Amino acid sequence: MVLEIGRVCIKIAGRDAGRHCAVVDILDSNYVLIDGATRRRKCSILHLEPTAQKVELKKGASHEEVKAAFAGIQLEVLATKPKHAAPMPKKIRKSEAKSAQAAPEKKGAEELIKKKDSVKKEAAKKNEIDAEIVSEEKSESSREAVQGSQKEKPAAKKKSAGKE
Amino acid sequence: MPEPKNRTHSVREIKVKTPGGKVVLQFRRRKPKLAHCSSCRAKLPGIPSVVGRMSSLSRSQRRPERPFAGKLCSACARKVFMQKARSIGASS
Ligand SMILES: [Zn+2]
Repeated sequence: MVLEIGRVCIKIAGRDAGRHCAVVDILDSNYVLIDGATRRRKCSILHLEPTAQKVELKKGASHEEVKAAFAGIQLEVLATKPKHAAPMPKKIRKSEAKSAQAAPEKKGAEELIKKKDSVKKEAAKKNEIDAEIVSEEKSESSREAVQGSQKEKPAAKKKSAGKE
Repeated sequence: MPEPKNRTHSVREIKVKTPGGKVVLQFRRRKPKLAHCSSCRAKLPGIPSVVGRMSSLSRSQRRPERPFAGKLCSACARKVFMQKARSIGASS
């Protein structure tokens, strides 16, 4: 058989067409395992054209061994990336982010903030009391104003009538 | 008489029957020819016959992912690769 283990071939079909590869394993009468400048993959023997070159390889040789063998006959090997995916960035919740920001602040600052809050609350209470007093005064004045306007209106009517 | 822009053979005429029963003449732009193999003149599958829209397609949608793609059919490209493999054996 021409396609024995270690035979250098050129792939003649698919996206790796025109690239060199070596037979690494014989899977059955129709398929072989190839590696080299192509991707390491199962391949139909109809898609391979053998060359006269041969490299010494064991059955099921690794990609590194194929790379070393190809260096002997001045051929390059497809650089394969490691398949370990980078870890996904963790999502930080808004509440966690706030607590993380607040934690590094000093205790003194927190006390100050508390004091400020208490002062603000007292001020707010005072304002409320003032507002109540003012509103009561306003309501009284508004009643007076309403009464006044009611008194004034008929007078105005009279004035206008007199003019006519 | 058709409009000047339609007085050319790059515009084809078709007769369309309207709902009212009339037969009217309409003008449609011709589609470009399909790409052909430069060796055996066979039609090349996998290459869209579009005008102006080719740049909006992705690179893998324009032609197969293979050397001589868009120039040779797969059978003719295979012959080229086989010749290359056999020439390596003859030289060494
Ligand atoms: Zn052809």
